[in-house]
Amino acid sequence: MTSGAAKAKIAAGMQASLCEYHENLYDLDQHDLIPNGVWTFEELLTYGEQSKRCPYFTVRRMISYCNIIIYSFHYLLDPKIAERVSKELSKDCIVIFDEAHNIDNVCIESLSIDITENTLQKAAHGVQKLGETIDEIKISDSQKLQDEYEKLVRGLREADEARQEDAFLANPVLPDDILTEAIPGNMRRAEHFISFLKRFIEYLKTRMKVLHVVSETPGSFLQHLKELTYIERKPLRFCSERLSYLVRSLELTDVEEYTSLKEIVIFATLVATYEKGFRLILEPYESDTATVPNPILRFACLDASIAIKPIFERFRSVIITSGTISPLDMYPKMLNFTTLIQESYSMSLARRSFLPMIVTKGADQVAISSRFEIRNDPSVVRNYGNILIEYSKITPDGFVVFFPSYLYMESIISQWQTMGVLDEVWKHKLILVETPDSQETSLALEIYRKACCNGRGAVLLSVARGKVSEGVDFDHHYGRTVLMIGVPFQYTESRILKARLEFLRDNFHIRENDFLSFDAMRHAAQCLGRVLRGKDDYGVMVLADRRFARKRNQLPKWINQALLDSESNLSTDMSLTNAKKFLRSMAQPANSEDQEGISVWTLEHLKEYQEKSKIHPNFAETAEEGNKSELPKDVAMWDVDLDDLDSLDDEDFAMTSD
Amino acid sequence: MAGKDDEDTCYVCKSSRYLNPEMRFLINTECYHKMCSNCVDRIFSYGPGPCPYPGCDKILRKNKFKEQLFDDIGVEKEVDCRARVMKVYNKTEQDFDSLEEYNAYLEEIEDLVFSLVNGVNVSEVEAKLEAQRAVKTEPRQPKKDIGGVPATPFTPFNGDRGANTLIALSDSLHDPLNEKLIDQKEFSASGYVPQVYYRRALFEAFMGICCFIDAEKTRPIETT
Ligand code: SF4
Ligand SMILES: [Zn+2]
Ligand SMILES: [Zn+2]
Repeated sequence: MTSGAAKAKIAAGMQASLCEYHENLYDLDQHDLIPNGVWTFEELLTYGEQSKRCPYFTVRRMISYCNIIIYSFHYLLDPKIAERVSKELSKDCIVIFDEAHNIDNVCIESLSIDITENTLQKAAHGVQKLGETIDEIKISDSQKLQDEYEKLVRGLREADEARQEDAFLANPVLPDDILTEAIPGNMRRAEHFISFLKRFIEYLKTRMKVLHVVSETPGSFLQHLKELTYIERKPLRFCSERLSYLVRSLELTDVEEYTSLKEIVIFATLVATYEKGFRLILEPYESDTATVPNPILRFACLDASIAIKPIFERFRSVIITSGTISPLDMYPKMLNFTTLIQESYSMSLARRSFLPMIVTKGADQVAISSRFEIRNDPSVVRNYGNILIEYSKITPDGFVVFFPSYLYMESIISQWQTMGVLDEVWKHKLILVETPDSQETSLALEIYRKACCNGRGAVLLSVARGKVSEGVDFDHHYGRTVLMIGVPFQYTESRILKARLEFLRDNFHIRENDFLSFDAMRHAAQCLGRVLRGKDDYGVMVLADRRFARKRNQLPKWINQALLDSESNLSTDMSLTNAKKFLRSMAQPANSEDQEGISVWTLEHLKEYQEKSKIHPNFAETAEEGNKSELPKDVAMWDVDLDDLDSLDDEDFAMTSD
Repeated sequence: MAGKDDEDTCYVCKSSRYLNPEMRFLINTECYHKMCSNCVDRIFSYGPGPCPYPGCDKILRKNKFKEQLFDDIGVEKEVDCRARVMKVYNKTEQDFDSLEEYNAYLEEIEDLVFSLVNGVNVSEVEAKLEAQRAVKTEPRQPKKDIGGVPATPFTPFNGDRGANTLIALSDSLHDPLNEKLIDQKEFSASGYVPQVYYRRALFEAFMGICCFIDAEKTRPIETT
């Protein structure tokens, strides 16, 4: 193990062990740890093993020398991770959020904290350990604590200097003014801070004993906290910084033990910093019917703009793009920014390669809908069953079905079982079901793929917002038809959702129904987009709910444009005729040269285009302006997948460096 | 270590929660030894007595028993001590000229609480608290005091120059009609208090007393 503390010991001539993999890094220059090229994590690992250099530190050191870094949203938006990974990115970086239709939820999740009794217990244990360590150090090396104390009294902190030079990305968990102000007097001494934490944790424990649902603002929480424990708002804000400071000065290496404590401390800082945009919800029971309490204190972030604000402030160019980011104007409202360029592109394809259809009624002309009142109506269930049967007959290979929720999926599947629907489907396709258990689901996916490949064909019954709808591609024969059963509205009884809707209404003037409908449609579009993953791909998209007819304008432009008026109000049998015709024509061999000049460009095409318009003249201008003004840089939004703009395959494109 | 048994059984009478689910545990602010409410009733109903825990010679009173708020007895004790300290050490950041002084003050509070909890130099701490209490009785001057004029609410005449009231209310003033009203909910709920009513009636009746219009007019209006 190599750590700052161990190195200091060696320097002082003491015994400590260093990691060979880390020490070998010093053989090379900082910016030269790996050869130029494109690197994935696996490649880095093998390279590190061969050259006996630590891949982890290689990445951390090289990250500022890379031309392109591709990583998950969390590395930038989640303050706990961004603090380590993305802090040093330069201001001139261009940040692109691809597949950003869900970005508001990622922002919210990255600042929300769930506290259970288990968390509290572990945190209390962590404090206990910390206290013991301090007691030991007091005896063995009291100078260390004294040094720390004196530094804090003088208000000296390194972070402060760095922040002043504007070197780092801001962190919502570490508000700016905290870094410039001295740590409050009542937590300067380590033992005082420990007792402070103990009190706070004990207080949270008493809150967990309440047996009814509580929903309160941070303000009222702080008020009550102060009445009971004399903890003021100000020191609470410093909690997270104070703990990391203490951990550093005590040179603690076993950080694992303090993860829960860290969570509590971040919660403390957030709750004391943000009066608006957060809500505390205590749910004593897991479900309405549960009798044994299992309390969860949810600290829910309602305002997506808090987490993304540092990004907008720091980087000059931010691009938000996705294939299913629609309607566009919802995002600037929710994330609180103004767009410089806002563009919605239609798809450029050589042939009509996907067939969206809205099915509103069954063959018997009964309207179909997953509306709560009628969703379990036998005639509706049977009609949905018929769609499933018929499409499994005509769809070659893969067929994906999405339901609005697990609950509805379960109830409808059991009804289909008694109606004999599943037996009928079974004749044509294998039936596989997504479950909340991710291991089971990946097993199901594996079998699904196998069945698609060997010609047996399969139906995958899955859930909008589930893992399948978010992250799995059904390209080519893995998905020839996608069927949306019902509009995937969120579960509106959730307390957090209610609080968020309220917040959006009061602060951003977004009406509840608008948001719910927007959210449902973006998930629907996300599900539909699963089957069309490339230029030579094709598929049928069936939206089976009467309510889709009115909501079609909320679909992304490329889907909405391809949706003919005559196909937006079909019955099951009519849609089947269309689909059969479509699939037959698609099955004809396609000449890949037909695409040239339309959806695939050669170098000549590109040069020709460049001549015509000197690539997007506004764009260059606005970038210039961005240099002068301090705040909103150019935040652009594109309604198209980046995958369509370039031909890079992002799988083998994790990191490039020069 | 407190096992599960300890948490559900009274140390004094050995009755446990299994037999009596209604059982409540109480603690006192002297030695924080825990016992059930029945024991407290039995032992201390006739006056103060010694703690039944062996080796503990604290004298306890029934009215000093309370329900335990925090699971951790240490925290419970600390919060009680803190309550005592905070009662007299109640300055806020505005009362200090600089942040450093305020932070030093906060640290002093922590030190006091710490010694009270751990029982070191208790007499010293008590003396300090006593001293602070004495300081507190002096009227505190607001920090930012412009000029010598005491701050008064806004009046058209630059503050009430006649600060001493000319009217005194006698405690023994007896008015059967108005005093009865206080017993009626609809009056008491809206904040009716006879004394306030008397004072206002008197004030309105003699408002103009000692106010000389000629003199007011000739006096220059001060602007702050
Ligand atoms: S992370 Fe790197 S430096 Fe640390 S122990 Fe592993 S190989 Fe060594
Ligand atoms: Zn008892
Ligand atoms: Zn006792």
